[in-house]
Amino acid sequence: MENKNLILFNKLKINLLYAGAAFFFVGIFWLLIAGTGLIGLIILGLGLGLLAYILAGNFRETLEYIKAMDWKAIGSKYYYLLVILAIFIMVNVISNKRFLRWDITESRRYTLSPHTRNLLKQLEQGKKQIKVLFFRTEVPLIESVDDLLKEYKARCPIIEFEYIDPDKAPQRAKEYNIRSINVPYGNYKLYGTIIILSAGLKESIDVVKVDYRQAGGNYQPYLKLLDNLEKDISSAFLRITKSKKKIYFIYGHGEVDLDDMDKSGWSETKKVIADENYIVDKIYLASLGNIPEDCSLLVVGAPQKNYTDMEYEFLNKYLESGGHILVMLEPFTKNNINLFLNKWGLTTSERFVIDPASSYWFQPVIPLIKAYNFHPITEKLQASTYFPTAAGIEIMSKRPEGVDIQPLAKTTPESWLETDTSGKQVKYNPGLDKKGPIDIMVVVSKKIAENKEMRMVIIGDSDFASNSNVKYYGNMDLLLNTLNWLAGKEELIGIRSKPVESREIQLTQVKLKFVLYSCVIILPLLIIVAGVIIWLKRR
Amino acid sequence: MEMVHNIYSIVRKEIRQFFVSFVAYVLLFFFLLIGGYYFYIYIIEIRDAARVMPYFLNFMGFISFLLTPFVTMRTFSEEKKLGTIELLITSPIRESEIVLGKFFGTLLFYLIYVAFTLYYLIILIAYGKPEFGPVIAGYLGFILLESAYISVGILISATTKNQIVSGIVTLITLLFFWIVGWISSYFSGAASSILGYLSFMKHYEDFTKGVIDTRHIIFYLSVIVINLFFTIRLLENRKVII
Repeated sequence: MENKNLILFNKLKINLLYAGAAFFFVGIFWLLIAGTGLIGLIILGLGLGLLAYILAGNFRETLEYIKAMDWKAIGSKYYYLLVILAIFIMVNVISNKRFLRWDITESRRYTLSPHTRNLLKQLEQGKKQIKVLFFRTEVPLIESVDDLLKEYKARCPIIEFEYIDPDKAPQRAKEYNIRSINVPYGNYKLYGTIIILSAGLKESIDVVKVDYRQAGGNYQPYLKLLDNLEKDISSAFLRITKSKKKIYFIYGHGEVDLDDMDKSGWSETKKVIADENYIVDKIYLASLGNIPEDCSLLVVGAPQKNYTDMEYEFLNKYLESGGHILVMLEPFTKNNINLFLNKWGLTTSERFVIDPASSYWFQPVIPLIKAYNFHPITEKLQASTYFPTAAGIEIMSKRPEGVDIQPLAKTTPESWLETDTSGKQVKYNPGLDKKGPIDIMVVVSKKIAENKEMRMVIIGDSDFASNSNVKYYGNMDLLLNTLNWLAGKEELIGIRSKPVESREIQLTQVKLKFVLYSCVIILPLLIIVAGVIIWLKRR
Repeated sequence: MEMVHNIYSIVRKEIRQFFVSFVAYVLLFFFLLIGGYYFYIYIIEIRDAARVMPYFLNFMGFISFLLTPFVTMRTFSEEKKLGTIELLITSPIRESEIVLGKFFGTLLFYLIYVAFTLYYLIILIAYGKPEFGPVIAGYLGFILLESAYISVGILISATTKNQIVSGIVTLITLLFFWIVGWISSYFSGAASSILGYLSFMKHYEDFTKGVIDTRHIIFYLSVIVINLFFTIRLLENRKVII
């Protein structure tokens, strides 16, 4: 009786030992996959407890039991197949959760910067659904973008990636308004746009840009990737996690009308701005008394009438506290905007720009701007922009202290500011008209505090972004770049572009022939000769 | 120590056997003929010294899956057909040593093939400025990939005494692990990621780019270990194979 009880007790202990081991491994497995969590800890604790309980009292016994086990017999049973497979799966699952990755390329091409990795970690923890669509033509140029995105995926598996060839799925490309690049790549029309979607927000990045290189005396356009793609992609990820910013358009003085669906209205433009993740609203300064807290950017859209002193006071106060304003002007307007502009070192007039040397479809009243001064706004602007009837902006010699004034776009030296606003005699009158180049876009900025900058952009025209013009040439890009810069759209700074060294192989015809003969003929033949010799020897 | 010695003696025997057969030279001839031709094409088309070797190594991963069955098909099948397997098993050498010996022997033999491709690297150094990171990582990845191929071939070879059957089954199996990555793109969600994970080639790509990732190393090592383990088990249960 006693003996039987002992056997029973031993069996119980042995089963507890197995259970302890099983709990122990499942617990470790759980913790490795899910990270630290209560359930995993409980399972692990249970396993350790059981093992400790059994081993503490019966250490020698257990050891002997394990020693006496018939491993061969266990091995020959079929269930070891399952055990092996389970181990295989377990090892691989763990290795996928806890892994190391070394990039041993010279320029660390596949290493994401610490900033990006940090951001991705936050995204992973945020558990927000993020989807990335990459519309692209499969060509070698784009390959490295695929590689880069794979690094994002490797660091943040919750992001869903989809690769789409717009030629094969035109419907989807249309859905996201994907356009091909106007410079051909070999025989292809090339697509390369990344769309990032999350919680109703959308960010898009065009990965390819047009550059020019000298070929036989003139400049040929060619396509290249953005210089710092990682920065652009990471910034887009950063922005998509933030809430929308608000842009206020000032009303009440005959400014541009966001609801006007006419050619000169801004209803289309409003949609374009909203698509860039902004909330667009109107504001009546006189009735409000102050500028709303949530205002990221204020737009003074070519007022026809005078502002009151009080209203200018609002604007100045807003600017001095680190505000952001876009001012658009129109010629032929008699208003007191100079009261405001003069304070910031600028002045304008009723006169309008005439540019016979660079104009839109040979209409000198519509200057066409082909080159810009370097600035974050114009940095990525590839296309020309046109400004139907533009006012000139003059930078005064007396500038306010601490304020940085930078012209961004100017007309050609052949242009002038026409004084005869009746339009009867459009020709250059020395002494009366101001000779070009004329500034039609100027940036004013002033550092207020460590992370605060007053920013103002003045454009001598508002029609460039009206319904009828906003979608042509580079006008939309200019408008959006300007708004983005003014509203201080987040950019992940500190990500440096990676130098790409040219490693082109310089091959002459002779060298090429040598490669062909030595690789394709001589080397394989030598092997056959060696084989024959050995074969003969053995005979 | 004795174990190392035993494995080494099997490795030597294997290598010798490979090189006295004319087939080895014919295989090497084709390997270098096709490899050389593609290297030449890559030089002309890519013209970027840093990117030729990654492309070539990728191609080598492909050509090797076609060649490996020819190399591994004879490892055990031949011994079984000739009856020499009985001698091997009854000798004091342990089953695990036989399997490891054959595995490393075949791998070494294959690496001698691959050593010839270093000639292409010399050409690149002479005519351009290749990047060495991807080359080193690429060859490391290739050794792992090829080891996985060989482990599959050896396991299948241990199941049959017919070399042709062994070769064809190995080819089909490797083909499966090759196209499974491509099949995975027709699925979505978990099915897609599991199928994609089984693809031998997908784990190889990162290496050729110059990225060493422990996930890929673990994958190949676990494939190799599991195959060699089963081979050893097969040999131990002699009844199954003879």
